[in-house]
Amino acid sequence: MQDKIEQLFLYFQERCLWQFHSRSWDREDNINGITDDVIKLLTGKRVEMETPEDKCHYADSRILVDDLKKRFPWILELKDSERSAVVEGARDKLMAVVVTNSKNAELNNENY
Amino acid sequence: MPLKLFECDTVIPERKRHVYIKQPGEDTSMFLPSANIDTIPGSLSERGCSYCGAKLVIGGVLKDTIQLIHGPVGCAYNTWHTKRYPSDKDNYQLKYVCSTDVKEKNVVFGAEKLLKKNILEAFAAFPDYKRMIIYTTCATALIGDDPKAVAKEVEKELGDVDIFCSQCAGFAGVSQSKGHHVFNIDWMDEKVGTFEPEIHSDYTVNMIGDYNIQGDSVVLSDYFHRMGIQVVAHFTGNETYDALRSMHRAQLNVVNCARSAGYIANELKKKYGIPRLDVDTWGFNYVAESLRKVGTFFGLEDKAEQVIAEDYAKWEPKLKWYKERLEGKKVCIWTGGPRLWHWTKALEDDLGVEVVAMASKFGHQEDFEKVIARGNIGTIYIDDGNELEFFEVLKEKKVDLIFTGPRVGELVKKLHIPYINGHAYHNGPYMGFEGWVNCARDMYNGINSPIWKLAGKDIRKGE
Repeated sequence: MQDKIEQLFLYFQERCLWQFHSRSWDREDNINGITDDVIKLLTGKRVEMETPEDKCHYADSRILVDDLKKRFPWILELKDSERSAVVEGARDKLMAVVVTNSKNAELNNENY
Repeated sequence: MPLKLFECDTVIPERKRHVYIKQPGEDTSMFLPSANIDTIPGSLSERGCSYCGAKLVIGGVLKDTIQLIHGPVGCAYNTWHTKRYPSDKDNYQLKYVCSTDVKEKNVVFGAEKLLKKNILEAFAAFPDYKRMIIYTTCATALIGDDPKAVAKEVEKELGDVDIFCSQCAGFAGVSQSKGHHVFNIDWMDEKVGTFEPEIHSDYTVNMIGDYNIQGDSVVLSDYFHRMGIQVVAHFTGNETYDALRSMHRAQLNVVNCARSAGYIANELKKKYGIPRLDVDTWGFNYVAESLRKVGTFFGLEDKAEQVIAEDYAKWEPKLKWYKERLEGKKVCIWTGGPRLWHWTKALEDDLGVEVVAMASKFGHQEDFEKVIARGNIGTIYIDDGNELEFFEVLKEKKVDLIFTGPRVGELVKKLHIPYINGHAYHNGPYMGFEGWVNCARDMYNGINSPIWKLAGKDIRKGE
């Protein structure tokens, strides 16, 4: 499982600009919002789209899930609970690298 | 030791914090170069000034706006016509720039009267142009001129003009990046929401951080048009002053250059709730992904797929031709900031080249987080590089081509290494499917030009 988490983490890092928004709160919103949607889409659950921000997260996650299935076909072999766990594992590592332990000195500036 | 001190920097060891070589298993929470801080004394920086960031990169692109530089005449010349962003308004913005030509007597006695005279003269000289941006420069900032007060007087007197004052002197920040920042925030505070656009589609976007370099905006606009999406404002390629005042009316901010324009996208999200979708607009795979995301946001997936299919059919065979001939070449990207992370994977995936070193003039640590995440193990990442460091990179990496600006470009040409203008392109546009083929063609032509062999001959020896 750890190997699968690492594969997804590296893929997210390389591919997804939303994790690198300017401030920590934007990064957290994006990482949580989009990976939540990714888990829902991978486990056949409905994604809520009440706000424009929800729609934006959905757009990112929909394209991401399509790509994940192509690049990592093993994901289709997993049970729903395992799919959730592997995405959550990658999310936790993303959060640690680009938010909690980030060396970016501008992340917590109050203003943009 | 992933942070690297070049041999040439032995006497300025602080430079070590600005250079990183990626190693297996490392991420940016372990090592991240310092960036967007003062240039280290002793290092000959390639950076531009903050006023240049506001004028040359952002405001000067507008096609219907008089550009008035309040300062010595050199400040106008050096931020005029050096970046190739055409427009469909007869390239007005490339042809004309105005300067108040401030002299010593104005520094002593004040230059506000001179500014007012110049504003009136400029509007009289261009009677069809009713919009103006006034830029403060170092000299006029230091003497405390108040261009906003002067602009208000003129607006009242003339009645039908609108003026924006960009108050970001050259010394305002450590590089041109500060100028991007100040322009974004001030435009948002003072101008967004003051003009109502005509909306003619159910789907509207702002395209943020694209400056129509050799026609980039035209390429992107065409994609949006074919998908039935109205671009309310391009920030700022081929755009009008009033369109930028209308940005509050878009449903989605599509952000390309997050470094120069992420600020206004963030503020639009905060104030108007318009979400920000970051995209890559260079490279086949990236462009297709970006169009799919925008299509998904609006429920226009079929339209996006149609555009992608049409353009892939037209341009992919050409790209493949170049890929077969560029595969394995080593390149460097030494540009401003965002193009490092926009281009590195796109060049490698689409054209099979290897990016071995990347240097950013004005990128922030955010840009290095992005590029290190996308870049290779063993690649050298440099913030605010200097020429001696570049020489060391070239000695170590034996590269085939360098994307950089004309200043460093002239340097590497003397070493008989081809360069492609990474800021203003050689023969663009480079954005979109069509653009990436243009980029590949310029790379191929650069590497295979006979000039490099000829330039190495000493004609005095009759070789």
